[in-house]
Amino acid sequence: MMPRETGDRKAFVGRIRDRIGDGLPVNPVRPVPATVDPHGSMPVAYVPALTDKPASFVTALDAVAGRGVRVPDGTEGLRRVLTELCAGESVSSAVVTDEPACEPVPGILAELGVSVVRPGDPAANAVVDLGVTGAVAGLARTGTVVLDTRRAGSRTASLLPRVHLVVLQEAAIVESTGDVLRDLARWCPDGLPSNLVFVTGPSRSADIELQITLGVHGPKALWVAVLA
Amino acid sequence: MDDRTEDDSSLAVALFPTCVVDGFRPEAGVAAVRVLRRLGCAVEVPDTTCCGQPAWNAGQVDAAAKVARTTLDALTASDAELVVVPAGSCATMMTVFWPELFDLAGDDDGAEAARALVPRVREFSVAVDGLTPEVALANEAGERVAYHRSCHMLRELRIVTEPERLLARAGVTPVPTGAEGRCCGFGGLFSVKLPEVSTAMADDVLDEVVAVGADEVVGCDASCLMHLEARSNERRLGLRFEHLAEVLERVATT
Amino acid sequence: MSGTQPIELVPKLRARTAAAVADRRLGRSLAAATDTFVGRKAAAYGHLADVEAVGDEARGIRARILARLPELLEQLANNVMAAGGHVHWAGDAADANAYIVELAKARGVDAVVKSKSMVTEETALNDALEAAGCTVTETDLGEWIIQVAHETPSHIIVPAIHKDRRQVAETLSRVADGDLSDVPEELAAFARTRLRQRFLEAGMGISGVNFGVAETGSLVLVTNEGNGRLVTSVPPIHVAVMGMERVVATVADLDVLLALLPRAATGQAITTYVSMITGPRRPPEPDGPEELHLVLLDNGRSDILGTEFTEMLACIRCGACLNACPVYRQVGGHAYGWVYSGPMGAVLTPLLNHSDAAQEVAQASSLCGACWDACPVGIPLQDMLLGLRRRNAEASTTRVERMAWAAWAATWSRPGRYRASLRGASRGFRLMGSPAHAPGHVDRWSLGRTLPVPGKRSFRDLWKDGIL
Repeated sequence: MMPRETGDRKAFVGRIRDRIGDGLPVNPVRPVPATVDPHGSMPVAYVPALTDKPASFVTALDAVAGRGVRVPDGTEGLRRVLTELCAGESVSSAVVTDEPACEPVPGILAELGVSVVRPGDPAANAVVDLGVTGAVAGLARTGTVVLDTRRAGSRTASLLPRVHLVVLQEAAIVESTGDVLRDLARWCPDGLPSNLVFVTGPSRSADIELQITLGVHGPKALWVAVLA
Repeated sequence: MDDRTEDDSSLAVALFPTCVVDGFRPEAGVAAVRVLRRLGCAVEVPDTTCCGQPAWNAGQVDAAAKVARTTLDALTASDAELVVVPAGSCATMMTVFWPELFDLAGDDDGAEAARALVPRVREFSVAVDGLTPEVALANEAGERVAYHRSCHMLRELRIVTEPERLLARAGVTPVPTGAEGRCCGFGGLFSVKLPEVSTAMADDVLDEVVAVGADEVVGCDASCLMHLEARSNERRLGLRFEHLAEVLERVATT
Repeated sequence: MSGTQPIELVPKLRARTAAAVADRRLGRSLAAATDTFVGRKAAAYGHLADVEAVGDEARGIRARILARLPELLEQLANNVMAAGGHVHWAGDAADANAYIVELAKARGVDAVVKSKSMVTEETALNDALEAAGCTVTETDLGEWIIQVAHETPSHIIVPAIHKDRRQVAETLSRVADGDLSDVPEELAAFARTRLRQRFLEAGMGISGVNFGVAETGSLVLVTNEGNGRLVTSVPPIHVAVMGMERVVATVADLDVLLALLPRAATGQAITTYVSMITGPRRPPEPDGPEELHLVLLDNGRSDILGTEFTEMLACIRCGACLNACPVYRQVGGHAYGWVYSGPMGAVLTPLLNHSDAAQEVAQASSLCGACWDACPVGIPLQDMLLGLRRRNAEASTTRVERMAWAAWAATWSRPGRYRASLRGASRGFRLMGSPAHAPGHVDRWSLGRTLPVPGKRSFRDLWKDGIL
């Protein structure tokens, strides 16, 4: 379907242009300070300085009720993580995306007696226990994983199952959102996917007496295997 | 009455007592004069009335400007080095809002005079703190008081350290309440527009004062203190309320 | 271009606030919640190397965006379409609602799921869809609770902040097979199961937009529960409704504002999910909506541009001003009477809702400035409240009020008459307990407060007499 534009753009924009006129009024008591760079926005600086990004990533993820596991020994380590996860979270079915990082996962899950489906059908993804995806980046300050749903092959594999496992390459861990947002060409060389998602811990709600409850809509548990 | 006749080495200070101190808390004005004199100031009191804030906060520009102009003219006519104001709220009205007020009222002369006056205006605690950087006011009174950070002092003038430092130097320990910076609920006509909310806000501050076992509230705005005191008296909480000037005058011996 | 009709702007502000103050349970909930938020915000701001610099930067960014609004909106629309999305320019609420209702009809949609969106509360979209025969389900837990209870949000971030767990259990039990326990985990689990089915059945998902990035055509949604991702990923059609001022120029702008929004809102460094949506699903993506519709909404916003209230359009809807406000702390959101509450609501309600009843909401502030202090983008809300009061005073000061203010000004602009009035007040108070000179309802001071008694002699009389 060709993109369609409706409503009256000219009138809408024209009204705004008329209102702005030669410039917007200035608060006489508290004028807006000039930004350092009139065109760009200064990067946000955080404290304290980070020395070991993968370690900080795991600490930050733990702080938001996620589970970060560093895996120094490749496939063997991934097998350990999956064994613990499947036992601990009672996993008997899974959806695994086609990303390179997930390549050994279906085989390991099969050995563990877990039935595996391919991604795509939301209704099927909704009834499996575990979703396994890769991530384009990790953010050390917040324990965030960045999912490119085109590469991940699915939006719903990371969303509908009650447990989500991310296989993240240690080398893809940077400091904060700005490192991804300000350099999108590096992280999404084929252009932005329809969905680029920053995920930080399991789904949470604080809508009842501000008490944190996990898994109200998305996964109740988020594991990240950080591959060296 | 003008102190400056005998000793010309003293610092000339014009005191703007504010309408609330003038009418409702004259003791605070008396104390302010005595403290300033003790610090070597020659004090005069020009023929001011009110800063115009009640009308300004109600959106009544013309009434506010008319009243404010009277006070502005009286202070402008004084050649005192500093204009000292024993109220953070009125000091805010003068230094932050007066130029805008006169601009809005179309009073260009007033706006210009207000801008010229601003650098001379000092809130009381700032003036006193500036005059006694090294001199101890201390005595051994050791009272437990709660200090109320009034809104305009705290957020418009950003005055936090001076009053609390003066209290400490006067041997008075401000007890943290956790509600120091919470609005007392006065807000001028707000207190009569929404009296139920205003009263509940006062309770919110007073309950914390009572909870930490302080028996006195000290502040730099007689209007806020008056509001808290009115609520405290209604509830028979037995709390005392004093302007910072009164505390300093009472305990400072130097 | 007028705002929506008032929904709860009766009775008058004082009656609404007085009723809220009388509700002690509400007061306790609000105090606990807002204290929690304020504490968490302070902790989260502690991660910023220079809080003031980031705040100034953010205020500058928002001002720069407002000044470039026409070109940025066109760029956003062009890029959304380049990514395969449809764009509708809606002048007002009725226009936006009509577009969405027509779309639902054209596609045969009868079930709609929504994620939390204040702008669709403003346009009363649910009413329009339901009138057209659609079933609308709010999927944010808090929004769902108040939808079931037939109420409106009382907090911009936590819509059901006014309900405790027992009340939530009672409410959700109405749509359950039996009585639910009041354990939050069990209530959330019930919501997950019940709402999951709705997501899978829905023909349309409707969301708001936190930021629309002009340079990429991306719509950014900031959520915690994941319902925002579900609404925008599972149904075949995604409709995003965006107040026109939500646009940002670049992903670099987005970085700064994303650092502040969750910190100011909930004290999180980042929310659980930040989704950048750029067009509908495209090959080889196996899931996601086939259609994306962006509805850009004016609804009175352009009338604010160019006035002294312009900077209100810089608001990023974080709710920090609600949490900081001593008035909100006492009365909660419903007393403000319309969609938006707290200080930002006290400014926005009179600006977007042109009814007479909406104008007095600007009185719901003691002008303490805590909102300005709390605002991550530095909006001087107290200046705007003063501006609204000036506007109201010009438009609707009664003859009696005008005379009272004129009398006050005539008296207090003459030092001699001023002094006499203080003496008169002192005598009056002592004789009758009520001042004669002050305008307004000073008698209301005696409600819950012991009237202060003026000094027997004013400071100035003492000074003149040389007693000092």
